[in-house]
Amino acid sequence: MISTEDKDDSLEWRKFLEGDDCAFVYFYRKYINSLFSFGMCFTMNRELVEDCIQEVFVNIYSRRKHLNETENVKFYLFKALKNTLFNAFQKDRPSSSLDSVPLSYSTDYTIEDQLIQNEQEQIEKDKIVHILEMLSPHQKEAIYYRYMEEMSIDEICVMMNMNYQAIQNLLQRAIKKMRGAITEYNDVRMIVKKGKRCL
Amino acid sequence: MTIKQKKMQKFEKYTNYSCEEFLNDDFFIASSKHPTRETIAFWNEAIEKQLIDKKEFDLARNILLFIQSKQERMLDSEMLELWEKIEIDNKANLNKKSKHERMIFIFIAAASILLAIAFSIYQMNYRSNDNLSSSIENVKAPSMNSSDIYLMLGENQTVPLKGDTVKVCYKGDKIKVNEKATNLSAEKDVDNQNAYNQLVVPYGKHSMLTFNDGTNIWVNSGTRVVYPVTFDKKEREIYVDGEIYLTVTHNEKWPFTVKTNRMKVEVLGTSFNVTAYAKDAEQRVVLVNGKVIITKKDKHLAELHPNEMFEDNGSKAKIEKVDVENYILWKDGLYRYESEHMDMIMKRLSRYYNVHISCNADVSFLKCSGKLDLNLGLNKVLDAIAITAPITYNIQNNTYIIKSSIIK
Repeated sequence: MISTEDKDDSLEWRKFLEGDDCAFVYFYRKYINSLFSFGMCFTMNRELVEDCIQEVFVNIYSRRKHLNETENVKFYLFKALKNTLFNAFQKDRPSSSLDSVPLSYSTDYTIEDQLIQNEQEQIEKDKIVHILEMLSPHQKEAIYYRYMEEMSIDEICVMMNMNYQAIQNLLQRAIKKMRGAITEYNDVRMIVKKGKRCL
Repeated sequence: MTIKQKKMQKFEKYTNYSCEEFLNDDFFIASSKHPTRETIAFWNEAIEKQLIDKKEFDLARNILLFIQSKQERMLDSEMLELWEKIEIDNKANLNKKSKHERMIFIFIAAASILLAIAFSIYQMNYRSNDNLSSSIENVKAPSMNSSDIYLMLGENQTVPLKGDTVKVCYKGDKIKVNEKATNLSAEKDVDNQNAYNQLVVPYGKHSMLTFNDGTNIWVNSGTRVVYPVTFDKKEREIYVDGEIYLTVTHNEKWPFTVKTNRMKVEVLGTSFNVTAYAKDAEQRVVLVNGKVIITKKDKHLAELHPNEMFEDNGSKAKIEKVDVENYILWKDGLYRYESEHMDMIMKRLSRYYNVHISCNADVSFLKCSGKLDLNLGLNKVLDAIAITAPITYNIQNNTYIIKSSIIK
């Protein structure tokens, strides 16, 4: 199923390929936020993520005569950013292979969070972090695509270079783990209230 | 099946859903992340009537919220800074490329001169045994560059017409301009059977054309229309380079044809819009009512029904259903846009008024919806936008500069 949003995207993409710079701006402002959040899941280094996003956009602009039409621009950009990030990681650490770079949710608190004086709240917060930390990097990555970016399982397969069943299993196991951990804490609501606050 | 039954069936699907199953359901995910009035009502009803397991549902919702609890965000200023860096890189790359391309260009230029010579030799030979080359699409475009709308009667007489919108009406052998009789006569070259008239509308201007048969044509800016002094007895034929909207007077025995540089649109009597700027890749036909047939080099391409649009981008052609009004509002000088970005709106206005408009990056990102009456003139239109969006403008060296009105 192609949503109207995807249709808009593929139309703008075609305009971009035909030389329309406005269409280029359109993609930047539409996806810059989600691309940045996505990039920050792989590293704590804001500058590195920004550099990689820059590289992705400069690259598609300079190669636009050689690019093809696409139905799913968002997916294309995400995939490009992931590749660029991994290339950057490999440059820094030549020994590490692509799969050994873990996707990790940052456990760094935002400034607002640091102002929390209430010790009880801090404990709740730690629990959320703790539960997320229980997931494997792959599980976290799959969960991110599915629930943050609402990608289809097929798209996640391509993003992670795994087959359909493997992705299904990854997601199911991650949810089971989280479910178990959350019900362990009796007051689910308390945790979630906290979760809402950091949205 | 009643609506109620349909709804019950939908509820049924979720009756014994576990938390895991909810989280694997696209509708559940989408409605949790982007709730609408309908989806909220749907889930509330399901819970109230105890048609789904509330505990599992809540748990799934909580996990979803939970996953979203951590998101790194970028500041607006960072977004802008990054954008500026990208633009600088892009410009640098373009300069590098253009040097490279210049070499290729010289080569291509040399090759095309050779081709042109070859072609003219071929044409000279070809023409000698073909004297039928006086068809409508080959009528020469006038070489003059005027900022006024003008009429070309026959091959020699050009008549400039003052004003931003001009109505031209052929009545008998007389021509009326803006409802006023003139001493202009349509049949200037009576002896020349193949005489054509032309109406040329530059950017920033508009016109309306009425033919003897009652057919009305709205002519958008940057458009040239060619038509015979009197229509042929067998068919009515015109040529367009640009955009026109037509209401063709119905006559089953007297077909009406619109030619563009690439295609031919044949009708009996309908209302439709043709966008075919010869220099643009995209050519479009949008049908309001009736029926039209589109052909290309005598090959049948498509048959359109009301509310359909035919679009040919040079390599591919397609037909789709569209909201016709959006494509023909221009004839009334109206422009409607829905969550359109500021720079796109300015691009459109710049084309309409034929002025240069430059949009600062910090306002290009704004999204607006609305309807503008372009007849009011650019200044009034910009003032109207400035009321609803935080923008301001000034004019420097004939360029309108659109800026944010928020002082940082």
